[in-house]
Amino acid sequence: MKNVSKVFQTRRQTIHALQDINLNVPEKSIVGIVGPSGCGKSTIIRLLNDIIKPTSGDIVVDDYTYEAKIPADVIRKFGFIFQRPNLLPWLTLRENIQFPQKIVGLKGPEWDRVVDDLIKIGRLEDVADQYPSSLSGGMLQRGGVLRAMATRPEILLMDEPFGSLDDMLREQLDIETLEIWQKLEQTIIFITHNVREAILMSGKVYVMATEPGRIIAEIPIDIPYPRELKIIADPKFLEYERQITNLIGEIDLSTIK
Amino acid sequence: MNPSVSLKKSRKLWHNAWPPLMVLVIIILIWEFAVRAFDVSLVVLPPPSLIFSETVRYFRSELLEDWLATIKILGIGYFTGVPTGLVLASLISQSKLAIKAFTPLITVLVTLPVMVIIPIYMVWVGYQIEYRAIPVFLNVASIITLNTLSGFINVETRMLELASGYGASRAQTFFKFILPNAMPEIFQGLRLGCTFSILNTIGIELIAGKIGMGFSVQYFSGLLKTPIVWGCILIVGITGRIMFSIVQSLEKRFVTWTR
Amino acid sequence: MVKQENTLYRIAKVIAPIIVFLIVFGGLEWAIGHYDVPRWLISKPSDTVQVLFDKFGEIWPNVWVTIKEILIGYVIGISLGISMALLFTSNRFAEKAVSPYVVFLIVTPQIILVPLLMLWMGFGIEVKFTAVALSSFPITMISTMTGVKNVSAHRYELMKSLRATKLQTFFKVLIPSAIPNVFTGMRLATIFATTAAVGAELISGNIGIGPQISYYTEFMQVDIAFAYVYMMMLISVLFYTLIGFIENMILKRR
Repeated sequence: MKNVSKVFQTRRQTIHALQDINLNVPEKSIVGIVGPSGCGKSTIIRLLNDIIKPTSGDIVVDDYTYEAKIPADVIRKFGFIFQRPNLLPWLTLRENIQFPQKIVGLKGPEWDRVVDDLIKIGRLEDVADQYPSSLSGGMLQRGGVLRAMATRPEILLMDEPFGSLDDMLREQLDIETLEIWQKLEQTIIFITHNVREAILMSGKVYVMATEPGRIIAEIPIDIPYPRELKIIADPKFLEYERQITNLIGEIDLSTIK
Repeated sequence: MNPSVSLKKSRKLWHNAWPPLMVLVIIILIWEFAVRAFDVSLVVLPPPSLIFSETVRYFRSELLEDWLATIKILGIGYFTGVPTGLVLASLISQSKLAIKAFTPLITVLVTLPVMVIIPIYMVWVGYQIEYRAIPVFLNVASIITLNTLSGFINVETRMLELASGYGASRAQTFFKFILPNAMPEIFQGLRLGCTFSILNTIGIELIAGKIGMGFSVQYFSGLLKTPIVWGCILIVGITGRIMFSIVQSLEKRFVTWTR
Repeated sequence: MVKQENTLYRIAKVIAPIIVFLIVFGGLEWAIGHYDVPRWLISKPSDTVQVLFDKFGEIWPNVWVTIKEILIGYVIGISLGISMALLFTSNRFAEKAVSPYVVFLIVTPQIILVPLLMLWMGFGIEVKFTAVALSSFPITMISTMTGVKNVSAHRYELMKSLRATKLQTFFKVLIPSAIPNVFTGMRLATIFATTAAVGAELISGNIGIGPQISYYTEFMQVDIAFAYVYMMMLISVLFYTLIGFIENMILKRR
């Protein structure tokens, strides 16, 4: 995958859900999108994943421009991680992780090995053959992340993947996701309302504002990987955090006016 | 109320009501037309118009009495069965051993078709109409017991821990925690109770005869007066629907927290 | 100490229901003997079991007729119920159009149609299994519809993100999600099926459990009539628990 850029402008008659959004996502990087609720973060993910279509504008992947129908090989490059783990209760953890392969039609020992590797990476070997009802929340979330990787996607779309968890567990899973990312080297587009999480994960953060949903800043995070949880106390990190929080805060105040 | 809001509400109501209404009208029209066009025998399938006119004609003179008899048995059976079931379930649920001990017996009572004993039962009680309520009562009571009991059992342990955390007494735990939690399942039992009480009332009337809507269906089909038979079936359906709606509206009032 | 209590409790759990049944039947046995209730009114459980064994050769063919009626009707009824439910829920308009009438089907006892079925079909076994099918169909349909409607939107979104075909979504998500409700309906349908079979037999017909009960009651051989009642009790409970057992087998792992 070469340089990926996505440009789209959306305009509906009544609601400007997103206006003139320009995102540029370099290959094998993590890009975070942070903003207050209702700013259209999730809409971006759904546009990218082609669940809904943009009113105007283009999305370009590898020089391929999104049109009405996306060829199968481009679709396979995407993996989608939901807010909740959303595992199917009648399948074991292993079967859940393998599920996307079955749907897309990927069979054979090499794909079985992909699943085995993912289970190993997620350190879920001991519980792989159990059903979701007997697993803890953290295990389920990890299962949800690993499932999105079963088709070997090059681009991962994460919509507040650990939003339903408490801070401690979320940050731990963030770090684990980073570890997985370093092993597998995908491109990740990451959506969150948590500023700290965005800085912790991303190589670049886009800050969004509401009404209409738009991007107000693009901030490269200049902290080298691999990152550990302790960097959140780093002065550089705190400076980023202050900067982004202020940006979001200002916008909130200006819209109240 | 704001007129535009009420307009919106009625529009929504209409939006939900027109598909079933349209289907009904189409079915009735096709039915009426087909029966007349193909000259189907009245015994096989009478046209809706005839069903309606004949039923209205017979309602005051004969059907009303039968209908009231059915409602009486249904009412006595249901309204004695429900409290009995609720009380029994509450008592049994107090001990885990009692739950284990009685569940199989209750299951047998729920699954055994009451109608099977009706011929013998009629020998015991003679043809006194009111006694027909007893099998209905037994059936309703066992269904309500089974559902209520499973509602009590399925209360999450988290809830019970919460209750003991508050230092709730045994009675408080039951009335403030277990009972509200079991409400959805209790109402499921009440709805099933409607279905089964009607089923058994009509079944007994069909078998034991003499009076009631079940008997009317039997009697008029013997006379080959099928339009009235269809009318009777319709009346039973409407009676059941009304009973069901009453339970549903009570459910809406008491179980407000689920969706 | 605690462990000992547990094993004691475990034994008590198994024995308790047996004791309850013993008390019920033993009490009946004792009361009938003690109050000298005439034999043509009610028969002692011991006599009934005795008759059941002595005349089993004569009883079984009739029981088998009833079992056949129940099984044929039940299979037709639940297949119809499940497929109708899937058909109606596949289309929003269809669902809206039929859902008010589904409740009517639930509250109208289908055995009320037996006299009409007799006019159309005569007195044969067709009337009975038609009645059984008609009775077991609505509850299965309404349960399946509830199951299909309550499939979580998140699951559909997952399938959409994987670009699953409609067929894949149907078989891999919709059906497994709705299975618990389908089974609830099927389990309840057994009660409707057995009730309808006996009801239809008592209203029309001369073979099967129902007519035999009326026949022997009329001729004051209540012990034989009760033998049939016991057989019916056995059939209903076994049928209900069988479906419940399959249900547990399939859903256990969730």
